[in-house]
Amino acid sequence: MRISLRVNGEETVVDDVKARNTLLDVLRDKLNLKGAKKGCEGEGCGACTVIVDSRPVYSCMYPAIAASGRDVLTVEGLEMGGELDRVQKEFVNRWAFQCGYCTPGFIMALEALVREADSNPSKLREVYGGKVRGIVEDALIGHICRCTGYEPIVETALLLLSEKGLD
Amino acid sequence: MLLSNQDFIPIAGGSAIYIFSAKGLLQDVRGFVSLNSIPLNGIHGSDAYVELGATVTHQELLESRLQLPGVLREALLTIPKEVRSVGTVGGQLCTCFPNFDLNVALLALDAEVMVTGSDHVRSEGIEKFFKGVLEPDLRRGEIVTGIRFPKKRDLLSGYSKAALTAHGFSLISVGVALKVSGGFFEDVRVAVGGTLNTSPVRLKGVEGALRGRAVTHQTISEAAELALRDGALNVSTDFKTSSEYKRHLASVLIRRTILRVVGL
Repeated sequence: MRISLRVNGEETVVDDVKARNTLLDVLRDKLNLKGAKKGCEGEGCGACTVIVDSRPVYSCMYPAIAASGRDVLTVEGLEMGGELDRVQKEFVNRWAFQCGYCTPGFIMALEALVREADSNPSKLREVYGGKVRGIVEDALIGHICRCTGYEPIVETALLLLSEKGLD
Repeated sequence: MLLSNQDFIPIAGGSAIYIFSAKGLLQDVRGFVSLNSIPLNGIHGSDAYVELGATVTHQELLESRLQLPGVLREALLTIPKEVRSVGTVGGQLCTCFPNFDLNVALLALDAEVMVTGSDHVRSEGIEKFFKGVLEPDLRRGEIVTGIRFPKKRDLLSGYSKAALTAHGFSLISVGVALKVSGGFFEDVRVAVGGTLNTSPVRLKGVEGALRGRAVTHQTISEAAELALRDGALNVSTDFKTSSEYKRHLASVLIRRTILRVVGL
């Protein structure tokens, strides 16, 4: 089956997609985008996270066919003119990664959160009763990092949200 | 297509399907029929009922304007946002999985499942719908179109979960929904999910030991102990936990959740 979708802003056509293929299969094996990682395949490690139509999703359990016509953003699409974006820079500044395997997933989760804070901050406040740490923990709960101990990542998230007026 | 061919299965978000697929459980399935183009994504609340369309995602439910019962809201927040964005109310229901948090919460809320076939519409209590793991009470060609649960005034409810990671599949989870009147328990529902050999279950022994009794530490502790009895839960020892530990967890979580919702 042939599907067309937008990947990192570019209209993309992918041929020979099988019903059993996941979005992660398409990104890694057909489009050679190796940022999203295969980790647990369904238990919830978060390493495969990408953004589909502004929501974070686990690409390892997202049917490739369901991505047809949608807007997919991966870690490769963040850089602009050779420069890292705000979230990536802050990850570097705070040393919010060590081995790096989980990092694209964490970054995409925070990208989604930052976009949510931009587009609908009042909904975030309403859902979490105004507790910003709660917002951050909920955004990151589906990700596992075995190196950092999470605190630098949480601090990065808190800083990014405070820049959006959420603190 | 669904009516004439059993090798096709309906999907909504598709997340659960891909877990099964990765584990090699879908060898004889020839194709999927997506339900996402059917308008089944409404969320409605009346005075008497809350009605959720089958393809409402977990995240849409969490962000809806409805005042969600505690047990439902708390269950939603134990699920990763990445799953909530995709996974649907009806999809997780049809797996009948005991680990899926919303199943346990909906069982505690006395939900009713709405089913449509090619020439009929019916509704069924959630307990009966859960025939077994991966075994919804659906006949060929039938799909779940939605779920509804009664809106009860002064309902006290909550959800607790024990898992190996913050958001992981539950070892044991507990959803309770009850009312208290004049210091006595009324209308108690205690639902348990997790890594069971069955779909989520209600512990009617525990419920019976609470109903009509005074709301005290002692009543609650004694009732929660009944979860330890043989036969209360059908659990096995697996690579994560022993069956004894799961029974123990159930008892502890039942006690703690009830104490929390009644404010003791």
